[in-house]
Amino acid sequence: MKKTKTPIFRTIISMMISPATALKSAVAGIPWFFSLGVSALAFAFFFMQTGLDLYKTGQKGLQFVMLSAGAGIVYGITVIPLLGAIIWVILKLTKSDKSIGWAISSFCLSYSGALIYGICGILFSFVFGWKTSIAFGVTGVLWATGPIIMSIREMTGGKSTLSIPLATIAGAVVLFTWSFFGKI
Amino acid sequence: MTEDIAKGNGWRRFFRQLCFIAFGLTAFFNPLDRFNPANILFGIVVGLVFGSLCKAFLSGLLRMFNPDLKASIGRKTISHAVEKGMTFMVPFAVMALLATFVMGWSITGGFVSAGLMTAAASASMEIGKLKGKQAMKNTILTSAISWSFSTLWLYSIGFLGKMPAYIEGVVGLISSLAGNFLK
Repeated sequence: MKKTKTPIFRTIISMMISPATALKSAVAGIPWFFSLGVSALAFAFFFMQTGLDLYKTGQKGLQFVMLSAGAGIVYGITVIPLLGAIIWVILKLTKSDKSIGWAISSFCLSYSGALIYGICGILFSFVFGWKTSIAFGVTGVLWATGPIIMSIREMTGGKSTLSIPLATIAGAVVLFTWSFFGKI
Repeated sequence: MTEDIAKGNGWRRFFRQLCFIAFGLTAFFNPLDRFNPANILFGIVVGLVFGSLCKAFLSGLLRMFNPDLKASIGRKTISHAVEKGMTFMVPFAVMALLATFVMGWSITGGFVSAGLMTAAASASMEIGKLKGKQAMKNTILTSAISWSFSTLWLYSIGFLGKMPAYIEGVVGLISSLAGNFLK
């Protein structure tokens, strides 16, 4: 039997630009470790930019920059799937037909935009010496709110009533936890 | 379908206005003078005006570029679809308020940009649902409008940020002059 390959780069771009289409077509064909990789790398770059900004102002050393990247990877492979799983449990009560794997995968892939912003942020941070955690990092994470709304909508059969408050909570949790990390 | 989209439009308009009020409040927030009435009032007015302009441009241009849809379902339905898309700004407005008033951030332009981009994409998706198929021209059009408005917001806030202080000065001057005349 011929196995259909899901184009990985196209999925990332599609999740950033047109998440509704990507969620309908590509998510089911994406391996779970790839989705986890997207959120792990997105948060590794985001947290690393925070570390680099603090390093540039002399508040932290180089070791903290590496630690930040590591913390980002852990965050991306634990907190984001956990958020996806919690929302899946909540939506299960409303009789969602999507599997927990789909929910976690779509949540992780929602950070595709954050990954692109993260790569750009790291480049600007190294090449031009800019402080990029807010301009690129936070913007990228905010960008994920749209795909998260779409994911929840898919899980609720196209209803926005639940997707908007749940996406607000998910976005606020990420912002609060990152802000807490920046203060450590 | 058209009846469905009209249902709840009043609430959606109310939420859209609240979102832009929130963006205005966060843009003109002064952490050293949290409850300055001039900043609050100016933030509300700028937010409402900006929100109305953004909605009018999105609806107007979508109508202009989809004459077939305008003829078949009417201009109001397109407007309702845009309003529905704009409710997707709620998470961004709430997060902007939390970032400003709880976490003490002073730069919230990113929330407006991301919110407008998401709202525009959702408006285009709603139009696609009405048409029965998603059109690339609508996605590009709404993205271009939201990008223009978020750029306008980012640049105009720096300039408009000075206005509340001027307003306060003028009000102070007028009240002192009025006081002198009444003596």
